[in-house]
Amino acid sequence: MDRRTVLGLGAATLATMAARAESMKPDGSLSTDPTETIPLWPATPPGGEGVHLTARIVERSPDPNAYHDRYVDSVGMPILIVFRPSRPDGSAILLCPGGGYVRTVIDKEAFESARRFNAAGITVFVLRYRLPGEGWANRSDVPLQDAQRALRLIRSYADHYGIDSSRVGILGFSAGGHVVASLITRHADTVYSVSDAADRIDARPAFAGLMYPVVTMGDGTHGGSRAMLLGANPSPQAIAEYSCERHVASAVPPTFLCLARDDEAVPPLANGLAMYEALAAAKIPSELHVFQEGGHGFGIRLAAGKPCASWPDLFLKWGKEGGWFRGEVH
Amino acid sequence: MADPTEIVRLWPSTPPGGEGVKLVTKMESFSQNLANHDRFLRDVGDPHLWVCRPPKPDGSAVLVIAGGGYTVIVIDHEGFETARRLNAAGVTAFVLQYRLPGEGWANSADVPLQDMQRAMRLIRANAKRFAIDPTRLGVIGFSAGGHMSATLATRYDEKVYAPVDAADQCDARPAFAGMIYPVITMGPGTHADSRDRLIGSDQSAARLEAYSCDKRVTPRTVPSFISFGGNDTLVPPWPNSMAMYKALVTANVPVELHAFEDGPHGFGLTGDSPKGELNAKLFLAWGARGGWFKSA
Repeated sequence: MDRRTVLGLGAATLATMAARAESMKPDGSLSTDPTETIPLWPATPPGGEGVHLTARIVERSPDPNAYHDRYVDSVGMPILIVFRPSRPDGSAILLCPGGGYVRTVIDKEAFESARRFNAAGITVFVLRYRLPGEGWANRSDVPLQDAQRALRLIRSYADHYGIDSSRVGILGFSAGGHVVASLITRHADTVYSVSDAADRIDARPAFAGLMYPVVTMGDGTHGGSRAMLLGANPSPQAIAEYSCERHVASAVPPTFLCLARDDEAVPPLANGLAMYEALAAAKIPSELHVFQEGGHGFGIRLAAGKPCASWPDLFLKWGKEGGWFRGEVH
Repeated sequence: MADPTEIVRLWPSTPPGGEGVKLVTKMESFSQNLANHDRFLRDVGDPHLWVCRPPKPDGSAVLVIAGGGYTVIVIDHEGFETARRLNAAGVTAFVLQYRLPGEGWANSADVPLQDMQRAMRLIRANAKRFAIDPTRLGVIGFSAGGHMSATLATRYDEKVYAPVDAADQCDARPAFAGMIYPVITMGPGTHADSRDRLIGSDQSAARLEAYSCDKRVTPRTVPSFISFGGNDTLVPPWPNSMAMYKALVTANVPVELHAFEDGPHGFGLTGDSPKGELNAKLFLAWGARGGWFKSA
């Protein structure tokens, strides 16, 4: 163990102790949360006329003294939450948490993963995207609108954050994986009107990660996500349009997929595996890890002690081979 | 690195179907660098196990099957290097020097399975001597050797030779199986040289199917670990690794899959390359979680 590892462990332990010692403030935040946030839209988000929502943060950990497990819904103002590394390597990840399109989780998947990638020198922007079933016009495109806008904003702020626009990627979990799969297949689709200079920037990520993703809206979909995104009884056309595995073309960036065989919530064959096969058929460089054990939504905390706990290292190694990450990889 | 010196002959006399076969094993090398062996075997007349013992045994053991298209055996790169990496994790390795099917044996398509079954039984019959737990004995194979480990994983209890001694009472079922960039199918998308060597000239549809491991999967197939590279141009992943993975999932057999973006055929399971080491770590972590490896 070198000196840096010791210091890193010290910081992690201090953060854990701080988390233990406190409870949520009235707005749902913790003192350990990053304070830097970026609103996605200068005014009302697209299709948001008449929508009035105040973010609600709910703690669902049975023991918040041991760990936090918050989620957010009622998202009226989508934001980026900025996690800056102490030693930036110039790369960035737009991170899209899951939550079945009915909420997005905060600690598990999002903040815990962000801290892990910060430690590798990556600047992480956690996307608090709008939820399709909360009153927006064109509900099915709301997550994609936010994802496109987020990627453009990050690139527009590249100088400010010391990041290289050509090394900005995206990583999504579960329904957030559907957000990612939508962005990599539809980054050039016009889904909102240009509002400022940032909207002229390329929304194609340099690379993508899909963690136990929802991919299809057809047979084998995650029913809850589909109901939120497409409404009850979607047409065959809508199902086809929002099934990402059917839209893989040559402009899709290199993609990493990781899931577990025993995922009971999002069927592996119809989603993650189908996406991998579509990527391979389109000759998109891609990597797939299907752990025997892990279930759905293992993130960082629930993976502990299982082989799937190595997923961040696998992603970092893959990203380093791709030339996007430059930090130290173990 | 010295070769292992402990050897266990598989058969007390002539191997099954070996009447009239006279072969003297030849060892040649792909490498002209004496410091970096990369030897291969052919004309294998003396099938045996090379016993590779770890400095700190954890009681587990793996039968290691190097590939070579059923034409040669890549004994250093996929055999001894794998054994060294497993040894470093406390696993006792038995590197199989197996008979090649195209070298004159009767029932040549079952010759590799005969040698594997016999090897598993001999290891178990001598478990005490090797200081291993017979319930924690698995198999791992590479390329054509992956066709062998997949064959053993699916056909471990098929009778393919007449018992020769008491050891043949022992169970030949591996507790787990690793299939590394394996040849699986004998149908379209196979590795043609492997197929021609194994199957010979009678390539009827029934025979091709009988030797396609994905067609032999049942719920009794053993827990499996599959890894390959998406850019493998020698053994196409889809009709081979992916077909096996799907067959195992369909039969509800525990299985783990790792498809590296960059994994050219032959990356191995070796501490000598980054991809080989990553493959080793994933295999060892999977085997530790399965309860077979104890010190990984």
